Amino acid sequence: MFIDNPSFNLFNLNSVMALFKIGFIIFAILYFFFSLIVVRQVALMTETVITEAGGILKVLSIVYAIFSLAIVVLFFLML
Amino acid sequence: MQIRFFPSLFDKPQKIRFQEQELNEQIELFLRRHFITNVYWIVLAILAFFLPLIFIQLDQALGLNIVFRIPTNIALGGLIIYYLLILAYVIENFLFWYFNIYIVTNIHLVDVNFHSILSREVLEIELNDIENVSSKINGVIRSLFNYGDVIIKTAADKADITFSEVPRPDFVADRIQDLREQFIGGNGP
Repeated sequence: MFIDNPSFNLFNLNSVMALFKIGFIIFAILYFFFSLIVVRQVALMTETVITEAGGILKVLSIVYAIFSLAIVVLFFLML
Repeated sequence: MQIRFFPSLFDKPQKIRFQEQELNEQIELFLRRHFITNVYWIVLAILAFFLPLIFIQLDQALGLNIVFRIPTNIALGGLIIYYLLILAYVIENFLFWYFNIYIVTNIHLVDVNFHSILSREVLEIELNDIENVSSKINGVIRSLFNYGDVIIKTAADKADITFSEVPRPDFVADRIQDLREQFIGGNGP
């Protein structure tokens, strides 16, 4: 990995770029965990109060989690 | 089938139930904060959505070219993160509005609180524990859209409940008072 590389220098532009890339990927992973919490919370709340729109909200929350996972994959491929 | 997402007051809804509902318990009122209370975060999210476009336009107009000096994949990554944060803000606010619910039944008052993505609380009191119900509308916006607070004072050992920013607070307070009298007059459900 670039951090193990002896030419790694904090003040080098490439190193700064690498830090940005790592930051983006960490953010995307944390965001995916956030979306999982949303899925869990929506499931819990739709069980607490049963409404007509509950099913749609559950599906939307799952779509959101899949979308967040796709962002993680995209960041790994793109950066 | 009509799916009603946005009304904040449902009178005797037929297709809504809650987890602790008893067999002989009927929902009389189902309330949320008035939809107009969401306008602040909706406007903020729309402004935030267009902010990068405005920034790029300004950057080009002033000839600074800051955007074009940033490597493409970093700029794109930053932009994606920015829009993800806006999406999270919208989702958090929508869920906060959608799942903060007040239910009035012929037996109980139920206050479902969705504090944040990580915590929720369900308060339930019997109608005969209510001592006093009052409503309050203060401010121009609240008067204009007819929404406000309903304050329910309960017996000393129970916590008071406030239905915050609900539509037609006078009607809601009246209805709770009527249901309480019916409940006490009939000695229970």
